Amino acid sequence: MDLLDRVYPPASDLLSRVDRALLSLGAPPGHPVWSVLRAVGASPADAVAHFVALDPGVLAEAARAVRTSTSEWHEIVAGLPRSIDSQGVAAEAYVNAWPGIATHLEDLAGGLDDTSAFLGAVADWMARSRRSLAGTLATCLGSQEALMLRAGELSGTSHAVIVSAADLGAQVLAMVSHCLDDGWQVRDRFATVLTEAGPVDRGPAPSVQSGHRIDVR
Amino acid sequence: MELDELETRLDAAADRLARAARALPGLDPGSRPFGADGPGRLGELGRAMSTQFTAALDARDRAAGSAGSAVAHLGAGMRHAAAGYRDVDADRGGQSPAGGGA
Repeated sequence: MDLLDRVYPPASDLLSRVDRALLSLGAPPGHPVWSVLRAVGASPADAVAHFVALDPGVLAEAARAVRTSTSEWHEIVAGLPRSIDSQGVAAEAYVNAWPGIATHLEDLAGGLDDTSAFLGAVADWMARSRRSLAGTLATCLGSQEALMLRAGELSGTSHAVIVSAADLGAQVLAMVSHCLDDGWQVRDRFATVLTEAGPVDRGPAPSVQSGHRIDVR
Repeated sequence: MELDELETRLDAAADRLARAARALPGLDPGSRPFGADGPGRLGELGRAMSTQFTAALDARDRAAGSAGSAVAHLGAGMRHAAAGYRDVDADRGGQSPAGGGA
């Protein structure tokens, strides 16, 4: 249980009041809540409920599973010799092909490590966002605007109630918008996980040199 | 190491590669843990993250397929060569094991 899990139960009633006020009473023209509403595309209560439902632990566990799987690829590389004692066309074919295959498998393991790091970064982003949002909600809970909303009659048209709801909504959605930007940056920073490995370099074909002789006795 | 043994080890490696490749899709936790079902731009971000992860796994899957194919090809080459050496030994009635090299 993190800070958001603790703050959300007392904050959910306040968020519902903010949503109801915004929906039924609107907000003053030009108020900052309009721009963050457009940026997030969700109401304060819905946006916060979304982060409450996100569990960073699920993705952190998936990241561990991906990282564990990379050892399999390293073991496959380590399980085959880099060279063999035999000589001849077959041995040469093996020695020519092995470096390319080994490099390809190492690149594959590296790609899985990056993919695991991406999952870990998304899990970290979720945890970071939840902490930030919890801090914002805690601030909102103790604010004058929260007092006004709790005391005010939402069906009325009190200007103070309208402004309080808009201010609280703007504060919450500004943090959500910041978390969104942070999330897109995480996603873009790990765009390299999409890099495709090229075809396996199987090396040059074994050569049969002039003077090569097979003795059959 | 003789060609017979190398051939066996390459076959085992190809099997492990195929198993490891089959396990890759199972590492995808699905789109929901990314928040893909969220409202507005939050759901958009969750779907983008999930799509990027799935595409990354797919890329690794294709790389695993290429590696498996290359190892199997190499194993088949060694098997072919070892069989050739055995045929030559049989033709000349010798007992020497495959792997001496030609």
